[in-house]
Amino acid sequence: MLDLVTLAGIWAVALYLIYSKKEIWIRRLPALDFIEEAVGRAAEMGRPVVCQGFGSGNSGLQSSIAPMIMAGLAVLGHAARICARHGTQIIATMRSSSVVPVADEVLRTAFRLEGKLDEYLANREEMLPWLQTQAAMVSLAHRVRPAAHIIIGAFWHESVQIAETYGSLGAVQIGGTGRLYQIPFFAAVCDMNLIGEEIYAVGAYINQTPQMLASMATQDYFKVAGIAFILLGVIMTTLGMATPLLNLFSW
Amino acid sequence: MSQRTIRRQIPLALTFIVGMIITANWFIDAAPLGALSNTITNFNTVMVAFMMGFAGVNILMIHTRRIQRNMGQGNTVDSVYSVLLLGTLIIWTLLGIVMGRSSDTYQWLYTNVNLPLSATAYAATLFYLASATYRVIRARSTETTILVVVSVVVIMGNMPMFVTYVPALLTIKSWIAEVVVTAAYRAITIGVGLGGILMGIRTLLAMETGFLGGTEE
Repeated sequence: MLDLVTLAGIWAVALYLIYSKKEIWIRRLPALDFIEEAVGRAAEMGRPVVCQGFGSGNSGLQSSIAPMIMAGLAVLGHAARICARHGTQIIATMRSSSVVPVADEVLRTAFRLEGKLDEYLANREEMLPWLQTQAAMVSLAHRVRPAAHIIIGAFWHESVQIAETYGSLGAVQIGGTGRLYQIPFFAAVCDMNLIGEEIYAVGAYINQTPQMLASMATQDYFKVAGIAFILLGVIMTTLGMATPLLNLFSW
Repeated sequence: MSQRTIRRQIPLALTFIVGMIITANWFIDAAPLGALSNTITNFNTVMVAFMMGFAGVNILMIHTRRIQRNMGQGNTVDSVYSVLLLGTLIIWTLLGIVMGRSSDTYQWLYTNVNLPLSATAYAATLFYLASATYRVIRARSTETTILVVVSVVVIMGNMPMFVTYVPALLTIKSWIAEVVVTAAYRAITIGVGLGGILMGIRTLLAMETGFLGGTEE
């Protein structure tokens, strides 16, 4: 029951903030600002940008990592538009076959919006190879020597292998994942990082519409509520009065 | 029907309808809703199979063109990789369809080709980890100095030769793992959970259109 009440609460607060049209400010995300700089560097060096994510392992859009894949796709769309504008080649790689048509649509739209759809259609096979096993990604890095590597999505053990290879070959790296145990690897190897829920803020950060920003504010309100519950739990447990709170969470 | 309707409005409307049905089925125990949700889930499985076909055709096209181009340029080494990939793809697909995935031949190939190759790639992670660790363990600022000190304590706490002489290392290592690291992980978990829910809401409300290539301004 508690999960339904919580979800209903999140919906209610999100809808209220979205339609109240309050002015909302969100902090800068340097990793996303850095994409433009990374693509500019690639344009100057005449090397491609490799953008990967969109589901590692064997999972795809039908699994629980779908939000992370969609966040990665939003970054792909953003990066692809900048690449199209600068005339830089972008290579999008993915593990799950279910993401290939979606990534194709994302790239197609990005190039169409920049008036360069023909350029995409002529180079589509090079821009959208379906590979993301660690061996294929390492091989791709050595073959094309990209100037920038954007690695945002859900990753498993291969994250460090892939990111370390691209880093050692001189690519600037922007990494981000919501998967707990891969965050330290990205923090170690990448130049810029999106940590945890920051990857979900991509769409809102890029578009900055009041509605998108309102949904980000909802997230922060519930985080504050979470902190309040944690503090309450600490106090009540210390006083030996935790039972009512535990009953509430098992409701 | 306009391109905008086909490419934007219909997918967004379908996303809302399907998303609401699946979400409602999670909370409401009603037979018709369950049946509808099952149908959608089955449809999803079929669609994923179609997408796999799309991806298969994509990979065939890419590597056929790559072989043609490389052969034209006299670059036979790169062509060999593409030929190997296409050959493997065709053999595995045919074996799976004709003999079945549980057949002895398919299983033999899986156990003796796929598994050793995967294990080799997995094992290579160790060397990349060592390289990444070297990159991190350099004191360049206050934060990285703290990281270096904590890393050294944890590494020493995991080594019996140090713990034997300084037993306190074990206690410190456990405290770091159980209190400091767990607290940070919990904070990230809460954030990721809330972020995922809000992203779902934005997607259902057609505000998050990154999966369709972004906004059409």
